[in-house]
Amino acid sequence: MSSDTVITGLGALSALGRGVKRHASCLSQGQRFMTLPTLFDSCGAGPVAEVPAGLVPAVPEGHEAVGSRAFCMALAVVDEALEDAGLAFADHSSTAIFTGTTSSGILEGERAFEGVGPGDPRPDYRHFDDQYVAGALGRAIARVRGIRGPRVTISTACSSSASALAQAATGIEQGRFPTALVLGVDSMTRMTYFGFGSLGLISPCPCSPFDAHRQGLTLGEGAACVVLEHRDRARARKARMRASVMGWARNVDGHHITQPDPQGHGIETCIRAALLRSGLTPRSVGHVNAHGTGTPQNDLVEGMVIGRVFGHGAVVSSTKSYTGHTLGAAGALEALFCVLALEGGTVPATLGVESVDPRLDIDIVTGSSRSCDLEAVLSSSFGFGGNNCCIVLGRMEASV
Amino acid sequence: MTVAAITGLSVVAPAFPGAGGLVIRAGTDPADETCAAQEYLSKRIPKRMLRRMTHFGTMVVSGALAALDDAGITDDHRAHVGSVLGTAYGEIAVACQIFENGLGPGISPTAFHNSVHNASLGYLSIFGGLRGPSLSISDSTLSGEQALVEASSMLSDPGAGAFVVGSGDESCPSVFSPCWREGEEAPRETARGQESGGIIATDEACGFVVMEVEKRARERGARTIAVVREALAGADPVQVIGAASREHAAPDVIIVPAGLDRKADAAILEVVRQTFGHGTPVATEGDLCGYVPASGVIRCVMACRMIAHGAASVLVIGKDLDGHCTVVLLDGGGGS
Repeated sequence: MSSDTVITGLGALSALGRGVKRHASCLSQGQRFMTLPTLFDSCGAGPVAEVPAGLVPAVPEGHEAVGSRAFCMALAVVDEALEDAGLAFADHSSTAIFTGTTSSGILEGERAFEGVGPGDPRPDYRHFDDQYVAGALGRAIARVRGIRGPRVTISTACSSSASALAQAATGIEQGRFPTALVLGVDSMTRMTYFGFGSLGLISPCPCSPFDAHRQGLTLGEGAACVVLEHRDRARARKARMRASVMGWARNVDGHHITQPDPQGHGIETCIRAALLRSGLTPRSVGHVNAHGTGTPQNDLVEGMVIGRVFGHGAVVSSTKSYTGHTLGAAGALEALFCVLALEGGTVPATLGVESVDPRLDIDIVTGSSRSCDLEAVLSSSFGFGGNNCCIVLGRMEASV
Repeated sequence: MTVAAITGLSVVAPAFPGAGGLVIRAGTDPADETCAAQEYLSKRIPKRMLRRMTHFGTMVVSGALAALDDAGITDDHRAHVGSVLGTAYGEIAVACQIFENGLGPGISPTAFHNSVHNASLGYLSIFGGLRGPSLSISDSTLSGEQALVEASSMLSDPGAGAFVVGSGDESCPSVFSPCWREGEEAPRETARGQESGGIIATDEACGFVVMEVEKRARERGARTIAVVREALAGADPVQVIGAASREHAAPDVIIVPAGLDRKADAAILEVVRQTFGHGTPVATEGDLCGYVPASGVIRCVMACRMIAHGAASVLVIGKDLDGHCTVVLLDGGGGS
């Protein structure tokens, strides 16, 4: 099945820095920046991948009410992606925006509740509706940038923005709208940091996905924006088509609220369904950008499933070893990394791996990045609630 | 757009505003027998697990399962069913509880994972056997309508089977009452369906519909309560409502939200009147529940019940404070 959806613009902001070029450079040089949180006292539980101070843009004048940290990060990547797509000054009356986020403006909610205990009067937090709630971000971005097509916010934990991408691509294929911004964004919060800590999932040192001695995930924050367009429209306006969205699939494990099905049945079904939709066989996929959180269970189950589907045919990497786990932003950010891999013919190394988990019979890129001739790549995202989403992207020359 | 058949309905809400327990009302007749949500779930979910679920989770899981039961989709046939939930605030009560108990290393792991927006859908997939795509959508007062629009879009996808689609919010007025935009009056507790000084009562409720590809519903011999003819969204109410009216006759009834923003309501009603004339009756969800932010699917349930009782077609309209608008046009399925 051929897809009519192409990617024409990208924007990124994470602990690696601001801008897609900066991200490409860090991936090729194997750089990451993980330190103890500066936004709150972490009690020393483990490092995070925070966006450096000064890289989060200031709240634009007149938009203070919506100006959460997540909003400011989101606006930066939306502007970069629109510029990259040549749509910065376009009419967005029919452009859709699909946002994936989990924590949205929870950081600001936490600050509003500081010092408030059980039974105390609740704080007079007047920006609650404009900052805290998940849908506030996309609403604010749409308002500020004049995006007047459909506007949807999906919050399915760590698969949020991957699912947003799948939903936006579905809409483009159906002719609901010609262009969609897919935005993934989440800021660092105490809720997620201590919450994942309570589940025993935070690594005391920078994460090392698929390593034999991995100890958990490193939380990250950031935002990514991917501009999707119908191929005909992109062609008509002579846009640079960076990759095609060849297939996608979503399902749920139905096993456990926070743990993957140990047999990985749901994940495997999802990967195979995405391949089926793309019309590809596993052999055509040269690279898997794994969910690869660094937790013992996720990486074991995911690695086993990748082995069952792809064997050694696809080289595997986890870019969470660079950005940390950016939760709702991860799906869009990792789709962006897949586009960079397709364009550059290079798969980044998974950082922090000293010895690959011996139970995994897959080809994990370690040490330094690897040159590969890639026609198609798969990005996988899994979230709480057993929520799975897989996306297949294709190189433009291969799929035009 | 693939024509989607609605084959099951439910609404979960307290028996009356302020009542503690939740009551399920499934099916096309609001006067049908009701069932307590906790009792309903206790027959389907191990007690240990039920205790871990939040109030909002109880509302969502019981409502969704009751709608699937009403559609006659048995446990053996639920693996291909997906779920879409629209909620403005999600698990707001447990989130506030976490904030108040202090954010630090002592946070409860159960409270943390229950606070995630799609936690209730996770429980639904585990206890209901649903394995299809699962989306939790948040878009303020349009969350429910967006859930219907996106579920319709997914049903048009090749291979799609059925979705249980819901929307609603739990009551947490002490959090969001100080949060209304400046100049707005906070909601007051009044009897359901009544208004006090232009302000309708705050409430909590969830509504659910089961949407299936019409052909598949027919093949399995399901009762079609209504079909979705249009499901549209956009920032221009004139365009969105106009698009829905272009290919269809004027609806018998238009259902608009029992919102708090009278100015926005008046603007939408003006567009409705310009499009359809002044003769079409306009209703709100006030008979089913009081003010619930994500009430879109609750109003869709109301529309389905009207169609089951003789209305030819009903238009469900949603709007938010930014002027974004959604329309869902339903009819009885004749001639399809």
